[in-house]
Amino acid sequence: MTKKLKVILWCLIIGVNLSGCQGSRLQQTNVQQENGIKTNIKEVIHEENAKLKLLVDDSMYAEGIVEGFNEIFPEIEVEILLGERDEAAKRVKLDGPYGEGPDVFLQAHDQVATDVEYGMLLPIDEKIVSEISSNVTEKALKLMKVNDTTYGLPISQESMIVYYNKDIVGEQPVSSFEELFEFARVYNDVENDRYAFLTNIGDAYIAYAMLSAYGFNLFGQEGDDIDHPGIDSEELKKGLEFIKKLKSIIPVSTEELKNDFARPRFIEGKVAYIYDGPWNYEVYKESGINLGVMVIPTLEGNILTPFGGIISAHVSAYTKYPNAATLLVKYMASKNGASILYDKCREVPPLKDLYQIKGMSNDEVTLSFAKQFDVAKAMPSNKRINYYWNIMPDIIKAVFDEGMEPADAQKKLMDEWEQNVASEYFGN
Amino acid sequence: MRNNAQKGQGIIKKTKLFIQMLVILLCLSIIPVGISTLRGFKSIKSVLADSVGLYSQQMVNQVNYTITKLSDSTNRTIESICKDSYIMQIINRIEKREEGVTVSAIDVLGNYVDQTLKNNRYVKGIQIISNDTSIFQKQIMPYKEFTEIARYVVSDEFISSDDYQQIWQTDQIKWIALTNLNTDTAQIIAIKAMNETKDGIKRCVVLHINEELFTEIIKEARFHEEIPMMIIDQHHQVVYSTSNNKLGDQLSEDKLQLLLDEPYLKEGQLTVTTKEKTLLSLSQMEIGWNIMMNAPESILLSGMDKLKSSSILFLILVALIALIIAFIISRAMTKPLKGLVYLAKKVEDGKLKEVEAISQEINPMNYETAQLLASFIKMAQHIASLVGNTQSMAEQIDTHMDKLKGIAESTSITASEVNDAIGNATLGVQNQALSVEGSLTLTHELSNNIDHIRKVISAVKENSSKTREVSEQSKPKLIALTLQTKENVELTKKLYEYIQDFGKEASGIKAIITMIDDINKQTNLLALNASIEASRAGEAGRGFAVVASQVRTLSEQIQEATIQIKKSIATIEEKKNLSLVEMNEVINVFNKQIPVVEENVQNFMDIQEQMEVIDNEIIQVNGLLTDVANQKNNIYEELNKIFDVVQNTVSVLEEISASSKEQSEYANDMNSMASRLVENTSELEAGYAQFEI
Repeated sequence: MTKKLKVILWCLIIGVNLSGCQGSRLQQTNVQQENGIKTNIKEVIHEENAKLKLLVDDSMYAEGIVEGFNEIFPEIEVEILLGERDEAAKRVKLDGPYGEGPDVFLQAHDQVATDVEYGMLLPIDEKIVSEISSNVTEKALKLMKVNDTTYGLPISQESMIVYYNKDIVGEQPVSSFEELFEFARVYNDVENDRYAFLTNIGDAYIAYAMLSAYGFNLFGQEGDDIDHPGIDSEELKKGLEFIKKLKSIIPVSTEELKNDFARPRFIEGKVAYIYDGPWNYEVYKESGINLGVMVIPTLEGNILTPFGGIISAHVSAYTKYPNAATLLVKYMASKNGASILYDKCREVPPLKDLYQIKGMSNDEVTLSFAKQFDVAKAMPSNKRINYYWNIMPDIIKAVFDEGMEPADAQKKLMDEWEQNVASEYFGN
Repeated sequence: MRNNAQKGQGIIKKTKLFIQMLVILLCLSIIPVGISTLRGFKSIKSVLADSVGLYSQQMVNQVNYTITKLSDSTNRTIESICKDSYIMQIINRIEKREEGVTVSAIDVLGNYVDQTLKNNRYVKGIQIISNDTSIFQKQIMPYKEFTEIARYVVSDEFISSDDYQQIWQTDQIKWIALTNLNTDTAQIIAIKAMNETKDGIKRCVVLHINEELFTEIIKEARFHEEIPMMIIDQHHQVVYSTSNNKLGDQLSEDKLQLLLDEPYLKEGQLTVTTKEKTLLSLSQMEIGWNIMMNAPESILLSGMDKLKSSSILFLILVALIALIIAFIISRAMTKPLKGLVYLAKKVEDGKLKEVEAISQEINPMNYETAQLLASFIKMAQHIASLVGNTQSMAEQIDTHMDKLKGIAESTSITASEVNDAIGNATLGVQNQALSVEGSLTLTHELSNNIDHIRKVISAVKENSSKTREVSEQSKPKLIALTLQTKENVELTKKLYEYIQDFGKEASGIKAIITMIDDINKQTNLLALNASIEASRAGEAGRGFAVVASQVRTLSEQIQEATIQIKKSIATIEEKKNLSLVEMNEVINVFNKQIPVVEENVQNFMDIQEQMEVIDNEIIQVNGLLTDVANQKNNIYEELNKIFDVVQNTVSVLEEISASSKEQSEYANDMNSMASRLVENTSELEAGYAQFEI
């Protein structure tokens, strides 16, 4: 009894000592005010003389963020590194160990798991996560987690969407593929380069929406059931049949489509509908066409679920200033950060309430993006997603270009998938 | 001391029998059982502690064995990585730090270690450190602490630590527990320097060990939640503990340091019971760590304690039952006693009437009590009747007391008078006795003389016959006869005198007898009075009454004797007087004869005739003398009788005198006794007044 008490007492004393010595990350307001740091209660205390490197792909956005962040933390110097999101991880891998990589960087959410494997990301303090979670959608935040640990904060959300030329289709675009097929029969004119609907169908990312038309759900609802990718399903076969059917209104090879076939023709006003990524919104808008944005039409009443993704901000595991870097990430994910993102890039932050961003309520386009993201399937980032990326383009090509029977195509897919899985046990 | 003893005794006396019996019964029922139970527990405890100690050592050894297997396997992994030339090639490419080359090399190495380690359970992550920079790091299995460990391994703190510096000096694999991370559990790394290459770069491989294996092993090995099984690193820090010890627990560190410094552990004795009554078992691991089990005896033997407490509970239960039984028995035994005490109290208060009624309510629980009760009731009844008797007697005594007192006084007076009288009587009788004795002597002499006379007379007769013959034959002889006759006359005169004297003595006797008779009559009267008084005095006077009656009987006998004596003396006197007359006549005859003889021989014939007459007369005298002799014998006998009686009388009178003195004293005593009796009777009256009969 007394022994127990002793142990408890000692533990308490030690606990207090430890938290005191280690320069605790969480302190009360009064302490923070003494240090002259403007933070909220239970805010992170940053390291002194912190100098951060922020790697983003948009300088406008970066400048907006640094400006806003320095208003709160003027003592934290932030250097902007510009680079593609896809390259961010490489930069961290290469320069991180030597202390020269970015402290904070943006990347697509599907990269998170791999980054975690290589120990590149610092976990975000759970208190900050729960603070952020009051604003950010659960769907977005969930994609930041690996094994229940949050490794970043969502900054923007993106999914494929359908742009249309109002000059061609008028104010009332089609709402279903049935209507679209009808329209295409009238409108399609290959000789004059007129197409009712174009998209880079050979891209497995883009084609996923079509494959999902009958309910195919890669790796299950959560996208993490690697042993049940769903490729053997009837739903996928039907999805493949739909792909084959699309050939009738998209009389272009996947190869051609891949080589930027659709975008110039849409800008030229020769294409009525184009299924494309949000990253081309600015391009289309500035092209002068009478642009409309809509969610993907239904097929036989089914809602198509495109892949959706989150662009997230991360703290590099190699940073010397983890607390300052975390503060910056937090700022980027905050409402202020979201406003800057919208203002500078017209991208859609994954906020629960988009209307709190100024000007958002009148922005049909952005709201359409948000609407589309709502039904989107978060792109899986498990280790077998690569099998999808690697095998599916060939399957689509075979079906779309070569007219392979969907059943055969499915079988081929399954065989190749199994080979890949089998190879896991023999090493590369 | 004495006071205390008395006090103690007092307490014992005051303690009720009931409680005493309870105590005895309880002592008998509980104490032996209690003592034997506790002794049993003690011995069981020591035996248990020993076997538990062995078991505990076995357990830590087993855990050590398991962990050693694990660490061996890990060590082999790290060795093989260090020797792998392919890995070395990739590392060289990574170290070039060229975009394209480095990143793809990292991916290649990542895949390679994935494939190499994917099926292992011990390594959860790997780092390649090159010149204190983590040029490659990869999770093998997901765990959130990865980045933190990876960062710590290249932190200044770790780089400058002795542990890290030491790896470059040996070829050994160093196991390090990271307890100062912000992680829930201690993190373990195994670190080994890679073979030195010509380029002079210091490289080492760091494996992040899956600590869950450790925790699982010790968790599975532990047998009680509160008996911590701990893994302690070379710095005596708790790496893992099944108890709630925090990582790197300073307390544990101090404590363990203390324990590890105990001399017995240094001597290689690996299971000991410490001063703090904990069983400490230690097993030293190959990697320089220890597995320790720190089991408080109280918990180890908690089952024992439970058993003990349940046994004590059982004992208490038994005691309770014993108490109840003891209570019932004691009550049963003491209840009738209590009743008796109550009865006695009633008797003490004098309420004898209630005794019987109450005794009906008492239920004697055993033979002895029943007997006691019956005796008590009888006793009470006796007391009641005794008190009744006493009361009536006291009343009688009371009424007669004054009379008794009076009588006692008068008796006292009479007794002294009697005493005096008897004194006189005794004196008289004593004299009488002397006289009788004298008479007796005289009578004896007289008798002798009479006999002599008879003989003489016989001779005379013979001689007279002869004389006559002679006278007939010869006259000369007559003269001799005449001479002889003269002698006869002289003798006869002397006899006469004798007889006369005798008569005088007889008269003296007669006077004495008369006096005795008088005294005797008086004694008889006194004895009569005394017997009357004695009968009045009741029991006390009974002895006296006997004496009085004896006195009376004696007195009557004396009277009879005196009458006889009187008669005899009267006869003697009569005969004496007769013999005197005859004697006188004889003398006269003789006197007449002698001159005749002398003067007239002629007259001899006449004389002869006369002689014949005399002869006849002598025959007559002889007959008388025979009578006298006979009478004399009678007198003698009577006198002897009288003497005896007188002697008796004397002794009786002496007795009477003594008795009367006693009687007098008795009477005095009786008087005082009577006074006291009056007092006592009044007390008695007060006493029995308390009894309600």
